Amino acid sequence: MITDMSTVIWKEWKSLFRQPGSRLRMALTVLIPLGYFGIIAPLQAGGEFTTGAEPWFIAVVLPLLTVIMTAPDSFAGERERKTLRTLLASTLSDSAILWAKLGFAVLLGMAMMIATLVLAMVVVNLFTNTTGVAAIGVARLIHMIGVSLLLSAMAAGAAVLISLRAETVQQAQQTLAAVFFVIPSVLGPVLLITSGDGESGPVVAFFDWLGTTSGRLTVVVVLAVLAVILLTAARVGFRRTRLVS
Amino acid sequence: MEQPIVEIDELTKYYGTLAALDGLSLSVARGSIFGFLGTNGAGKTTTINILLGLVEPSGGAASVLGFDVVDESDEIRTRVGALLDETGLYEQMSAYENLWFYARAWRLPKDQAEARVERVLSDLGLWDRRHDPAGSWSRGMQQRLALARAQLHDPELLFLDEPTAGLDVVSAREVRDHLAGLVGRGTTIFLTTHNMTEAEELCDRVAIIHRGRLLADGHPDELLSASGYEVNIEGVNLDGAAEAIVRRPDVVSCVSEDGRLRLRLTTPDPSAVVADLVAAGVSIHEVRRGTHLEDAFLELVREDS
Repeated sequence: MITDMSTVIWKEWKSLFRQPGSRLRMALTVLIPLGYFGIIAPLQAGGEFTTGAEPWFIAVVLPLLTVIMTAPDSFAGERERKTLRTLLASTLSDSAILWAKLGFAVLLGMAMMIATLVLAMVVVNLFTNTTGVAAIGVARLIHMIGVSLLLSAMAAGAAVLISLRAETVQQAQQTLAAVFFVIPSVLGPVLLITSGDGESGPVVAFFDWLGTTSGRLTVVVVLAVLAVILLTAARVGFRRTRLVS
Repeated sequence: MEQPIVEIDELTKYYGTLAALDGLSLSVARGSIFGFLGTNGAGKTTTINILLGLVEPSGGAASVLGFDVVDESDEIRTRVGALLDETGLYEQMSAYENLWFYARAWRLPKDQAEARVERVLSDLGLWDRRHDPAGSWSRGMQQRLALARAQLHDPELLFLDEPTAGLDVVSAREVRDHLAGLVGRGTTIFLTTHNMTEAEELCDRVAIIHRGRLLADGHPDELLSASGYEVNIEGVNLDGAAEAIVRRPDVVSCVSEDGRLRLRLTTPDPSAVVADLVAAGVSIHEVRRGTHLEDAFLELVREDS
C-alpha cells in the first residue's frame, strides 16, 4: 500500500503545477503568504515575532489555505478532466488512492507552514536587532505543529469528502471555502457583538482560556476528534462503485 | 472445454426505473476478439463498467477470468486492461510520465516498467515524442497512447470501448492492425464499436444488444446468413437478366434498379450467380459486396424497436 500511495503522490506532484493557469495561481498562493508571513511580518515584529501571534497565524492559516487550494482537485479534478474512470479501473486499491490524495494535501500544507516559519526565523535573526539567537520555544513549536497537522487533516478530510461528490473543482472549492471561511467570518462578528465590552466579555475570556494548558489540550482533542470524523467519512464515502455512474 | 474468459448470466442494471441492462447473458472465449455492438444507450458501457467492478449490478451474475465482478473485482482489475470511452490521459503530463504512472500502479518493478513503457511506445510508433505533453498530441496519437497504457502490464483481457472512434482512416487502420497483432500473441479483446465494417473485419464473434437485451450472438457470418448476403452487380445488358437467376435456390431476392442488380444471397460466394449472368449474356463490370453486418444489425434493431 505504501508503494501504491507513493505512486499516486508522485502523479499528484507531477500534475500540480501543470494544470492550465495553475502556475500563476500556485505562485500567487505560495509567494504572497510566504512573502508576507516569512519576510514582512518578521521584519515588522523583530525579536518579538517568536512570542507573538504571527507564528500561530502561519500555523493555522497557511496549511488551511494550501489544503483548500489543492484538495478539492483530488477527485473533482479527475472527474472534470475525464481521468477518474481510468484511474479507478487500475489495480490501485481504494485505500491507496484515497490516503495518497489526502496525504498529499496535508504534506503540502505542512511544507508550506514549515517553509514559512523557517524563512521567518532566518529573517528575524539576520535582519532584525535581536540579542542572541531568536527562536520559537520547543513546547510552543510542538503545539503549533500538532494543531497545524490536525487542522490540515481535518480540512483535507472535508475537502476530499466534498470533492468525491462535486462535478467540478470550482464547485468543490466554493463549497469548501464556504465551510471554512464564510461560517467563521459570519460567526466572528456575531460573537463580538454579543460579547459585551472588549475587555471582559465571553469572547475575551474564551481567548484567555485558550492560552491555558487545559484550553490548549481541549483544542487539540476537539481538532483530533473532528479530523478523525472527517477522515472516516471520507474513507466510508470513497467507493469505486459510488464514483462511476 | 475451456472456461470462458467472460461469463455473464442474466445481468440486470437499473438506474431508477430505467433498465440499462435487462437480463443480459453471454460468454466470451479466450484468445478471441469479441465484438459488442449496440446503439448509443444500448448498455455497452454499463456492461463494461460492471465487468471492471466500477458499477454494481442490480441482479444476475458475471465473472471475468473466473473472478466474480462484485466480490473479486480487485483480482479482475489486476489482470485486465481497459481503454474506456475517454482516453483518460493526464494531458499536462508527458506520454512517458502517463505510462510510467500506470506501470507503477500495476506494480511493475522499475527495470521492467522502463522496458515495458519503451516497448509499447515503440510498438505504437510514439517513442520519439515520449517527452511531449499528452495534451499536445492529435486525437489519433492520444488514442494510441491510451491503447499503449491499457496493454502496459500485458493483460490477459483488454476491454476496448470504441478504440477507433474519431480517428482518421490511417490511424484507425494502425489501431486495427495492432489489435490483430495482440490477439495473435494470445490476448483476448472485448471490443465495442459502432463501426460494423471494423467488427466484421476483426471479430471472431459479435453480440448485438439493444435496450439492455441481447438480440443476437454469433460469428459475423452466422448473423449475416440470417438476413442474407448482399451483392451489387453493375454491367451491360442487365435488363431482364434477373429472370436468369431469380429461381436459383441461393438467391433470396433480386432487384434491378439504376442499371444494377441488388441481390441477397444465402451464401457469401456470388461466383455461381455471376456465371449464370455471364451465360445469360450480361457483360459484368463490377461485383461488390454490401456492408453486411450493418444490414443485419439494422434489421435486428428495427425489429426490436
